[in-house]
Amino acid sequence: MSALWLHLRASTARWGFLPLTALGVAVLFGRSRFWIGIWPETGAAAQVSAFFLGIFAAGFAAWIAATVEVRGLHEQAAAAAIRPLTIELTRFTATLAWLLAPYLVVAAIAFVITARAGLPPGVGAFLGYVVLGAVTVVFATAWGWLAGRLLAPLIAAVCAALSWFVVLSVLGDAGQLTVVSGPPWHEVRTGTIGLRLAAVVALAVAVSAIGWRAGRRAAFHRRIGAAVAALVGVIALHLATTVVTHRPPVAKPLCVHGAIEYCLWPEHAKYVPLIQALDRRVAALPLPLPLPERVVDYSLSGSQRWIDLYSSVELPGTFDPEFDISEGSRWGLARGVAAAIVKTVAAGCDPTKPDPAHRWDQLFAWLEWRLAGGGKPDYRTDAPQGLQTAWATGHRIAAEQSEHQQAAWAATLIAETKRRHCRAA
Amino acid sequence: MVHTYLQARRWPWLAAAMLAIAVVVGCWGWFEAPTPAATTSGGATVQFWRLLTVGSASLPVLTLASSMEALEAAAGPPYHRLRNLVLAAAFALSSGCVITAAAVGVDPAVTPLIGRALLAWFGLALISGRLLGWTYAWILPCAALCALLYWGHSANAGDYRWWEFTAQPAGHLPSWLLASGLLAAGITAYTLSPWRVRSLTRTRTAEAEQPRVEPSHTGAPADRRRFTAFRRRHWKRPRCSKARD
Repeated sequence: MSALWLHLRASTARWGFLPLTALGVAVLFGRSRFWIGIWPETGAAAQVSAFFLGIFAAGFAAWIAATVEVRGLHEQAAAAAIRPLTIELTRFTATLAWLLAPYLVVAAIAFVITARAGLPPGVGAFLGYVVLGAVTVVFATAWGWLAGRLLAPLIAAVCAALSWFVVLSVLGDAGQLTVVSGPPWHEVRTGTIGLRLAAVVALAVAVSAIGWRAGRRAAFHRRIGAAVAALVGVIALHLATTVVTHRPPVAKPLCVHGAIEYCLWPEHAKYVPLIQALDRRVAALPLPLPLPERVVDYSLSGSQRWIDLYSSVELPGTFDPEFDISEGSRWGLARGVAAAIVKTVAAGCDPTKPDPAHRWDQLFAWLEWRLAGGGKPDYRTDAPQGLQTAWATGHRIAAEQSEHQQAAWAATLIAETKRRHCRAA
Repeated sequence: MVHTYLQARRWPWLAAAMLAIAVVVGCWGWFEAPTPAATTSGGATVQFWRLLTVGSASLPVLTLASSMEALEAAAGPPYHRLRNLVLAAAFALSSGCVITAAAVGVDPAVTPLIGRALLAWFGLALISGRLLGWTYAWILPCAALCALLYWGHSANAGDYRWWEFTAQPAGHLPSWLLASGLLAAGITAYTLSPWRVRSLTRTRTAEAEQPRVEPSHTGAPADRRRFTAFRRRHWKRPRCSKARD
């Protein structure tokens, strides 16, 4: 233990602690703040920093692994009375502790910030994502250590850092080493992440067992073989297992009752005020419109069967319409609810029948603007010109005309569209 | 001397690393590596040819690293000329390898972009080496790479910020200015050896102290003036002043 303490105090990696913590915190806050208050998103946001910290972890680990050779101390090390594995494990552990510490600080900051936002449900997913990031950092450190053992000390750090990036990229999507976001409709498999953690720790022991070249050559090569075999095993495990999957709809979503019933994933509890504000705007529409009974959060209606994380098939049947509050966007929410209302208004019409004036889209844009509470949309579009004109018309009417004029415009538009373009009307 | 200098730096390893980067760029240069990014989707991709040039520009700076750095700093002009020459040759070789590989394996159109990025990374590596030690020359370029990958995307999807010098089109002036600025800063950092910094500050201090030496009827200041004159004449060590770098 005192040896570990000594290495912790002397490790070169300690100089990286403050700059790497600063980098991690910058990555945590440098993209957006919507994750505050949602546990899985908080975990994923903290985990993103592991991607960048891993590059430095690999570089530093390679340099520290090579220092015995740099200082010309292999003979002293080989002649030590302590077992080489013990020495190396102590050095590796001290290095890993300094390289993992910035990541854990970032995770702790993320935890405190979301915990202060009222302790929403779903803290388990946070821990899952944080451990996933820790697996990346441990893997990177072990990778760097191996590079430091195999390559010349001078180039070890650069090669380890860059080659780690290449490994991360190649394993990337297939291996799910890192994720970029943690929406509540994704599920982390804690057991699989635990298995991966055990595997990378085993890899760390294997690379620590390599020792130094000065000993018996055959034994050294044998131990390198074992470490490479462990590496292949860890990569195979990453490719064979899935840690993030699609989550089936929950039995008891968080529902808000108003003019419409809105149901959210329980983790999205922080969006309840956003929903309530939207519902007040629905109730304040200048003309009575047929409203859907229930609208639900993304992927909560059960209308899709997910094959993997990115592809799904539509199931037959009728389902509640969905909205997507993508990253806390009131416009995203407004678009979803506006589309649901337009669908209810246009019930019985044939949606495939072409309308050159895109009247339903005008109505949709008008509703969207009103439900979002006005202002400038926070998204960009590359929709066809006709659609864009229709949306601009809807937005203009909502922004410029009086309540009375808007009611008259909407009523006329609905009546005319139904008369002209709907067979059922 | 060249042979000894290169051997002390394990040049086959350096050359092998430069070649390895060139091979990866030549064979898989178009590979789109997924990275996290501060965009609306939270992710983006970067091609290997954009990514790996950071290694090509950092490796030559590692030739400056030496375990006997303090001793070598006192060496004469031929040593320092050799040091500069090896640095320049290694940079030329490394750049040549990766640019040729990109021209063959990726697209000749990306070679100006790679050239610009190499200049910028090289400057950053020199700054990093001067500040942190030559063996740590890779740290600042890697940190800058993280910043470019994460924050380099503009709000318009698929577009980049002006300072993303690895991705802006070849004719983009601001990123050329940035890259040449970084290179100039790097070369300045390289020339500002601790010895030079000390000699510059010492001259300035001596100039500042000059007016304070006032003539007096006591003997001490005259002694001091004589001593200063003696120091100027004999302590300059003119041969070494140019020798050190």
